[in-house]
Amino acid sequence: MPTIHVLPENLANRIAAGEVVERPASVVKELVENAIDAGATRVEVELRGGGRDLIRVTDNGCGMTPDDLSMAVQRFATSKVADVEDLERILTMGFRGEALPSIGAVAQLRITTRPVAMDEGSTLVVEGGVVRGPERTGCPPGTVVEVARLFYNTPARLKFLATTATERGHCVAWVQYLALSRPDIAFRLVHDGQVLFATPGSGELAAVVATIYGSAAARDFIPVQAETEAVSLHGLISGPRLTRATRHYQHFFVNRRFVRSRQLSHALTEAYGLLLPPGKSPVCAVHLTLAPEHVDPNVHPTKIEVRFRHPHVVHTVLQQACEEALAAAGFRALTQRPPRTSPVSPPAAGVFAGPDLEQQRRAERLRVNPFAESLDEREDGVEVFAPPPDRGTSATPLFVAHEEAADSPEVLGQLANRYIVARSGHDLLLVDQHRAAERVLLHALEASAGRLVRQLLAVPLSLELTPAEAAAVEDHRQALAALGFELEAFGPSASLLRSIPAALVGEDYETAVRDLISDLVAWEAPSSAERRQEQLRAMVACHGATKKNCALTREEMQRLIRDLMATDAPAVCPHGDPIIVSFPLSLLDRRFRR
Amino acid sequence: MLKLACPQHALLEGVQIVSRGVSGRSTQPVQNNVYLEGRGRELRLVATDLEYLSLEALLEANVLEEGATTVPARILSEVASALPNEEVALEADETHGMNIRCGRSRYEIRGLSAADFTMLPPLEQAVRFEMPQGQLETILARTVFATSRDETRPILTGALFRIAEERLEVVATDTYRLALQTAPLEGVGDVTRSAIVSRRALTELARILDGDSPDPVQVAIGDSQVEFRLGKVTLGSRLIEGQFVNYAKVIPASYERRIIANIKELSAALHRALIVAREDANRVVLKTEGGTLKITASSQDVGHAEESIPVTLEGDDAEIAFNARYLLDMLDAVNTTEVVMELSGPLNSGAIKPVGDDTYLYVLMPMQIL
Ligand SMILES: Nc1ncnc2c1ncn2[C@@H]1O[C@H](COP(=O)(O)OP(=O)(O)OP(=O)(O)O)[C@@H](O)[C@H]1O
Ligand SMILES: [Mg+2]
Repeated sequence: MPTIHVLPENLANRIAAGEVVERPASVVKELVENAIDAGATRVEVELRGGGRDLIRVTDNGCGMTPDDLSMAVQRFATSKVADVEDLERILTMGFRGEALPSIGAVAQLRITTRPVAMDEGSTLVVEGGVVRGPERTGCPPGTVVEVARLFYNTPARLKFLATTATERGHCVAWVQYLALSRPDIAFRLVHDGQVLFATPGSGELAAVVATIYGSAAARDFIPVQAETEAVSLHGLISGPRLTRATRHYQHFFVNRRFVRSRQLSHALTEAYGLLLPPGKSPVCAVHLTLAPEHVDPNVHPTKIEVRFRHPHVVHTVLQQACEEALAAAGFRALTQRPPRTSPVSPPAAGVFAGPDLEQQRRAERLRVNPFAESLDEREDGVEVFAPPPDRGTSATPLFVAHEEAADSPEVLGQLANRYIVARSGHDLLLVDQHRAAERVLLHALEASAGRLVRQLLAVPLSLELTPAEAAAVEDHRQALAALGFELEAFGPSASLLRSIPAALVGEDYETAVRDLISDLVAWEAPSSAERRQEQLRAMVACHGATKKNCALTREEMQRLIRDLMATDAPAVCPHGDPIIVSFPLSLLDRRFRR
Repeated sequence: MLKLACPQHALLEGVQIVSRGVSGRSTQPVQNNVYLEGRGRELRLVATDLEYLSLEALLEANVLEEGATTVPARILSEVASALPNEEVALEADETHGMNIRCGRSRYEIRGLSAADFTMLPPLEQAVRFEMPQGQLETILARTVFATSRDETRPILTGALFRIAEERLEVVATDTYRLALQTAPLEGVGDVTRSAIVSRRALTELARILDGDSPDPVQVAIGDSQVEFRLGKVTLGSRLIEGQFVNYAKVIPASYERRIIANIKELSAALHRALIVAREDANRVVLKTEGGTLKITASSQDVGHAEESIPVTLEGDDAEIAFNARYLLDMLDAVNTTEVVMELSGPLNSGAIKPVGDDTYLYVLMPMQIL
């Protein structure tokens, strides 16, 4: 009664598959890892329909005998680990013997393979967990694995897949990680007949980096290396000019396995110290080699996380190596970034505290209606500023000279290149300049809904994009255009920026648009068009507000304050944090015990 | 040990010119100093940030002992300007200090060793030409304003000097507009050379150029440096490295309509419209109705502005929106009475030229309401 046995096993596989096979990119990853483990020097990945319709991975590795082939699709069948001891010293990418059966449970899987030493190959099919074959067949040495109609028997999972462009982007990202992990293997990725990515397999990491970031950007990378007893490392880290808004572009490889690690990211970021603009992350491809018993890759079903036996040692070695590399490249860093929030003494000591939770909640309310609350002074605190309600509206004369704008706060100076110190009546105001700029920009982007002005560019900006970014741009092209960013596709991995919102004219729009695009990659766009546009505007405002920690002239500050006061919610930023904090005179008097 | 005498006004003039070469931000203290060297019958003053600016002045002096030293630029220029207009005696001492005596004043200023002072390396393999100072002044006035202020794209923060086919082209763009000025060059021969000169150097150059001077300015463009020599003053600068944008692509090949306007009238109308337009990203709409050009601006907060001026229109009526400031930048820079705007569609770039002067071209991209 074989059918009875097949069903429960089939079910079990489907459950396991939920962990291993999440989307087409996970299949690509598993198959390419198998090819790498098989000792291939050339791996070709072909995709159709973002990997949904077909994934085909062809390698020139060791191949399998017909017997091995039947074993390969059994659960927990693996040639890579024999006992528990082995599990302690894993050097191959695979070790669970789980990938192929999991894939076979949720797709149509065909494997065609031939060891070099044999004259004939064999082929086998798995469909819905049922194995047919192996049969003998003629084929070149190596292995071809084809996965068609992924999730055809699990409609719920199928529904969860994103657009073709997004899925394609994830697949490309994984092939890139694997290519970075093995510069000695030549990779080629073809999607719907178009070559998206190819590496020479020359063994040089720099060559792979150049194919991903373009050779111009690749020149901004700095080699890093270190050799200690516990860990040796080598790789490339970006110069401080090449940064991204997220950590997504930090590629760490531990014993040639791509991993995400907060610890490693942290060590890297620390090394840059003040060289990095706030909110920016460096880009890197760094290989770490440790004795296998010092790492445990078996903490996560997709093996993307690792656990180090001596995490602080790894941290120190990486940070120091990066610091030295940066210094050698002429970037002095080595000082600590000032704490994110300025250190505040406890309020009890009679020194003012920053806005507390209650105030933030009030700020939140103010966002909805800035006039909801006037300056009712609280017992002991500073105030989130609310402008007097008689501002603007019908009483405003047609042509007011800027300087005279009646109740606009007067700028007194700047603090730490971060806060504008101003006076409004008898109140002392501190204005967070970045948040102010963000609010002003958001206002301009929302301005008189449906009447956004864009400036066309005489010299369009060409942007080299990663395939994932190109896919994100493709997905959101319309929405971006509605905000003034006209992006024209320019080959598979580049875009031409032809216009920008007029509100960004004169600003560093290149950084803004790059950061925006790298955010879009991970953006879960809401289904309502209105919400989508709203979120997108907030993202543009956030990245476009370049007045972060920089010195401003008095005119710039005065203009910023004036523009801020003209917005509908000058006191709180889009995230609900205060933009203006006010210290009423009475509070100061009390502090001076007058 | 340096020892010399020269008139106070000559020293002051020299120090004031060169001390602008100091950036004040140099990590090497000696680069915040002015280098003084007495040799033959001259005092040579040099100050440089080693990057975008090096300024050198030669002045006649009675050199008693040859030698060199460096002293802080700011102190030297304050002292020099405070002294009476008499003979100044300068004398360096063993400890790199400098004694300054003039009339009844005596100063001793602490300095640093001249041996540590770094200068730009001498120019090699340069293309050289000269032109009247007034001509270069005009070229700069018409282009430098269009350079970018966005330091993240260094190439655009300078102007391209391109020599080819016995012509000089100077091009600047901040990606929103582009200014291109050409001038014939005689005697450079069949050379081609491109160099991007920083705005900082060009702005400084514009300050010291004297349109009325009979002496020409001698220009030398090397592989990594440029030098402008005006009589006794030399301004040097490192070039900005990199490839300038492909500006030939930016210049419109054709147009569908031309509007010819009086510069003064157009400029005055734009200035007025800006009162409203500046609240709307400086946007003004230019619209022709036969021989009348209507300029309108509107802003939700402020209101509406409408101006009209007489123009000559060739072709169909036109309507296009521009950044008024960018238009005014160009009108302010040219000195002809009329300007011609060559336009196609509302989303195509406009080519704007002074009437009767075909050496200058300004390309401006329009704005659009979404
Ligand atoms: N491309 C290939 N070339 C040669 N042998 C292969 C190939 N792909 C798979 N195999 C064989 O099939 C076995 C099962 O592969 P599978 O991916 O299911 O498990 P694994 O790689 O051992 O472990 P993991 O589940 O962690 O990936 C492997 O151990 C290997 O022996
Ligand atoms: Mg595997």
